[in-house]
Amino acid sequence: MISPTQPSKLDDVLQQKNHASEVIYVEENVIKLVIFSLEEEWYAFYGKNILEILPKETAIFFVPGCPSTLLGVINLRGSIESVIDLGIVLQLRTETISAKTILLAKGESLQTGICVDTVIDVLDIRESDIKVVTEPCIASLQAYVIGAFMFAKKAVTLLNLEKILTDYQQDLA
Amino acid sequence: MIEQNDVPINMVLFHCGATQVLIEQSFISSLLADTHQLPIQLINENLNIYPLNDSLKKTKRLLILNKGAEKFALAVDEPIEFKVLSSKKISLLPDLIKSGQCLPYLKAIAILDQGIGLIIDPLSIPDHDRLLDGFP
Repeated sequence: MISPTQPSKLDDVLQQKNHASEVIYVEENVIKLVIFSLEEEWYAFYGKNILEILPKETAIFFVPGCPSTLLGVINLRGSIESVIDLGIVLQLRTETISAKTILLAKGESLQTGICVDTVIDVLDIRESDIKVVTEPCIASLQAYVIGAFMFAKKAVTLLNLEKILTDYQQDLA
Repeated sequence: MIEQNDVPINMVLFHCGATQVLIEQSFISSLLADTHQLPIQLINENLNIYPLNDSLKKTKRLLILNKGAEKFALAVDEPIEFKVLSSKKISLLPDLIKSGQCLPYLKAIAILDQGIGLIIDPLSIPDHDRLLDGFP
């Protein structure tokens, strides 16, 4: 016999179910990424580092004496910006290609154009979708990989643009 | 942002192969037509330095420049234009071009009607790259 002051088993179960039905909404961080291709692989930079995606027909003017990684300068509405070939900087190729897209990138200490093969997409992604990569398949990228995620059934490697620019500037100096 | 008045600057524009190069007119003493007889080294295509023999056919003119009481010359390609350049059209060198030390005598970049021009400081060009010998 159940005493009137004691909750029955059924009450316990109902109470538990009641709590379980309470939905707790957790706001997950969403970040903007710019996805691009280089030598048929897909990579991404944080969107906060990319100021602009320039049209393919943007003319690059050669500056004599530059290393092969530094393609020259562009005239961006009256402002002159340098342009580097990311493929050569990351040792993914040895020679520059003719059809390419320029991203205007901004790091802490440096602003420059960055040549990539094509821009694939600009998208928002949950931070939790980016997985840690223990060992990138390309050794020269090791120092720059933040993580990887899947997009359109393809693996995309997220790269640390700040570090790429800092290291590149130090190498030049 | 600092607002600056537009300052006109007198420049000489010449070509070194496909590259457009500018020097302030105040450096220029005179212009000579014929380079054929002089034992010189010169600035040529892409601003690399070649002996005269290799690029004699491409070189048309000598720019004679003042360095204090001295004079020296640069061999350049035609056409040569005297231009008044607005200071608004002059841009500082981007950081990477500066730190890359692409050309030690590159000073700034000019935005021209057709492309860009490299503004160089002729006095910073190493002596061995200037014409010095055999010139009056």
